[in-house]
Parts: sequence; structure tokens; C-alpha cells
Amino acid sequence: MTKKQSSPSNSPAPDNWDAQLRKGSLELAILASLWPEPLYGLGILRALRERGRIEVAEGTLYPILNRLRLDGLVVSEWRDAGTGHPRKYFTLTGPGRARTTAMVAAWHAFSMQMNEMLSPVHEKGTDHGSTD
Amino acid sequence: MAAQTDTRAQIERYLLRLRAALGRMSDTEKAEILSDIRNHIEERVAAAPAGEAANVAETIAALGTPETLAASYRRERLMASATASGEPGLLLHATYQWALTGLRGFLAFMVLLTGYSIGIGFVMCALLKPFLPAHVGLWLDPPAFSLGFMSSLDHPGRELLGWWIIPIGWTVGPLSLIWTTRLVQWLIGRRRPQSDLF
Repeated sequence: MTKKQSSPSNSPAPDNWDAQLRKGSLELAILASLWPEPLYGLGILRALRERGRIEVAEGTLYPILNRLRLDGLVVSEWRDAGTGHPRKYFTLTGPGRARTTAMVAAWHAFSMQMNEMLSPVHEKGTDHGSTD
Repeated sequence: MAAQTDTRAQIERYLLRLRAALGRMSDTEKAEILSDIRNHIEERVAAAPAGEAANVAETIAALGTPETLAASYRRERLMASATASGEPGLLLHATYQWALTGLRGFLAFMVLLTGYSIGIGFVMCALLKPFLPAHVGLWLDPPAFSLGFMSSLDHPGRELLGWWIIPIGWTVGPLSLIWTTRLVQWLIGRRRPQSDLF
């Protein structure tokens, strides 16, 4: 087993930081994945992977979905998906949509503040790139 | 046929262990959870093209052991109940469980303990002051403050509030309990789910 060597100057993000950032956004990402349409468990995992590039351990998703269901933010129901067997779909409730909207607003506010904070770094990086 | 029976047996064994590990939950909630997991395993198996028996083993392994999965369910559920009810016992239990998982949880637990101690301390002082006026109060013995019951009258500290401890205790105590509860509910609401991303 080889140990990954950390190289701060070359790595795209510090060790584990990227994963921590995504982990913090997991609940919002799950709620957002259900915004366009109800999804079943594997569909949520696929949406997280394809739309958010978030890989979630399968044993992590279902306890969170259960909590969201207990909180009244999602409901689950069996539906015939035309696959020969019923699937359990998760749907955002009214409070779930309200909570998602509030979380998205908070996310955008935070993101704008962070972008402002990071703009000197970005400008410096661009300047540095143009002089090379 | 034998492989299919083995597959069924693997799923049933997993679900049986999961059901046992879920502990004290209502039968309805357990049934909901088991049907989520059964559906997930069956969907995974149906979606995979390779040999069925191997897929079930891999799918089950990806979920973690039934005990680990049940612990995640219990933790998430506990946080949901504690936040919704605001019941001090549940909040203590929830933040204690959270404290076992990392620094943020430990800090939330300490906030809860400190806030509740101050709140209960002031209320107890307000209650006991009329009966033990010389022994109950807020004492200053630089640089430390002591709130509560002082058995010895030779204590070097100076009592600061006198009879004012009664109205102050009845104001500060309940406020401290209420605001600590709200703060910890908010902290739990902002908690990152315990997850494994890879």
C-alpha cells in the first residue's frame, strides 16, 4: 500500500479539504437532487455523482434520507417505474422545498462573500499566469 | 436456483441483523428503514450485469455492517428528535453522541453543559436564598466567581448580589436554559452529517 504524498504546491486542493467541503454540503445536495423530480435511492446517488461530483457511501445516504423523512422534508412512496418491480421514490414536501430554498439562499450569500474574499488570490493567479 | 436461494438468504440475514441493531424504534419506522435497504439491494442487484451472488455481497459490503448502518440511523434520528423537541435530556444525549465523533460535537456538548449549569445554578440560588440567606449567593474570591451554596461562613470571598440573587436568578436562570437549548438546537441543525465520502 502506497501512501499518498502531499505536495501543497501541485495538488488541486489540500489533503481531504475538498472532501470535507463536499461533506458539509451533503444535506443540501440531497435536497437539491430531489428538486426537479422525485428520485429513488440509486437515482439520488447517481444525481449526486453526475451533477455534483459527490461520491457518497451508500450506508451514509439512507440514514440521512430517514432523518429528512422524520423532519417532514421528504416523503417516500412506492411507485411502479415500469421496471417490473416497484421502486421507493423520495419526494420533497412543501417544508422540504422551503428548507431547500432557504439553504440555497444561504449558500449563494456565503459563496458571494467567499468569492469576494478570494478575488485577490484569483487576480494574482491570473496576473502570474499572464507574465509566464 | 441454489444461487438465488443463497442470494435471498444473504439479504435476509443482513436485514435481520440490521433490524436487531436498530434497537428501540417503532415497528413502523423499522419496517420503513428495512424496506429502504431491501429496495436498495434489489435495485443494485437488478442494475448490475455480472453474477448475482457476487453483486449482493458487494452491495451489502458497500452499505457497511448492519451494526454500523444501524448506528448511523440511530445517530441521525437522535439528532432529528433532539432538534425537534428541544427536550434537555434528548439534547444532552444527542450532543454526547455527537461529542464522541469529533471536536465540533465536543464543543456543542460543553456549551450545553455550561449553559445548563449556569441556568440551573441561578434557579437553585433563587429558590434556596430565602431559606439559607447567608450560605447562598454569587461569591467573588478574585479572580474566581462561585455561584451556589457555600457551607462555611468563613469563606474569604465577598457575596455580590445579596437578596438581588432572587429576581436575578429567576431571570438569568430560565433565560440561560432557554437560550442554551436554542443555541444547541441551532448547532445540531448546522451539523455535518457523519458521512464517508471516497
